[in-house]
Amino acid sequence: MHLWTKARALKDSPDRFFFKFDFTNYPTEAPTGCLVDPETGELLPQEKRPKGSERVAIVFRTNWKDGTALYHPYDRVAIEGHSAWPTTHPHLIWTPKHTICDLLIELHGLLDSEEYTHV
Amino acid sequence: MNAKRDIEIYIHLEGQGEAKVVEADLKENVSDVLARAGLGAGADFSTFVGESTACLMHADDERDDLEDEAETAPLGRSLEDLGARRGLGLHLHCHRCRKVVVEIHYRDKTKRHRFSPSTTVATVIEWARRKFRLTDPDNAKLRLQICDSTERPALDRHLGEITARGSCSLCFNLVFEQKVEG
Repeated sequence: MHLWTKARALKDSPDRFFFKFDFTNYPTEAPTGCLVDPETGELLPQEKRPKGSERVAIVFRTNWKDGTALYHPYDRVAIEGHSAWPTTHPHLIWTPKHTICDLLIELHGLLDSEEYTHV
Repeated sequence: MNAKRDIEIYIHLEGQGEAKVVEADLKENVSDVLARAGLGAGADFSTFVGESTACLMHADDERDDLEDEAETAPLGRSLEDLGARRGLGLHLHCHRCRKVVVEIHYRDKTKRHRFSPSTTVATVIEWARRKFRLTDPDNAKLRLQICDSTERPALDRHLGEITARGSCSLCFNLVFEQKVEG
């Protein structure tokens, strides 16, 4: 399933980004997702990915799992390898009461922020 | 088959995260729409139209504990009179409390204000940023965290949706969103 979130208007950049999510065992477990090209369904290539500073640079990084998951506590692949996150980011820990909307709100917040600077 | 009505009304209720959606005609009045949505005739709660930014009028005032001047919706008025237009949604906020008393802590300071329940978290953060005179560029990462909890309501949530049943007050700590690191 592909979902998209709007991004802030930047020169030579798309107005939205698409994500592919795996909802295995959702909502008990968090989904895992990645940026995709909506036309091919394939992982979004490097030259088209959102880039920037701080949190944007971290969440959409490609030097971890080749960009096949989001580096965010709401991504079940990411949380697996980070036992400290429930302590350092308790407000971002997935529970069965969370929904995909919580993750999309996070992603939209990043892509609407000044930390997102270009593709 | 029912004919399609003019407009969608999003009804935000006290303590509930998702709005109830009903279709309505522009000539209908607010009380009839609320009754059709199963909310009686609006007698037990106040109804506000749209999102309130009234607090920002006081954001640069040095006095503390002021109150929004947002007015409740006159229930006998038609949706059209209240600014609704064909094809556009209208948001109604229904709450027992005419105002939500909010206390915000930042470092060793505390600010208080009585907000309309239809004020969003994002607007409260902007009010707090100006009230605490925060000018750093990192202010874009400011968030509200509910006191004695780790919960940080999303920026588009309205205060009326966050209050606990039976309460007309909220307490927040003003915090910065940190980047996730491994």
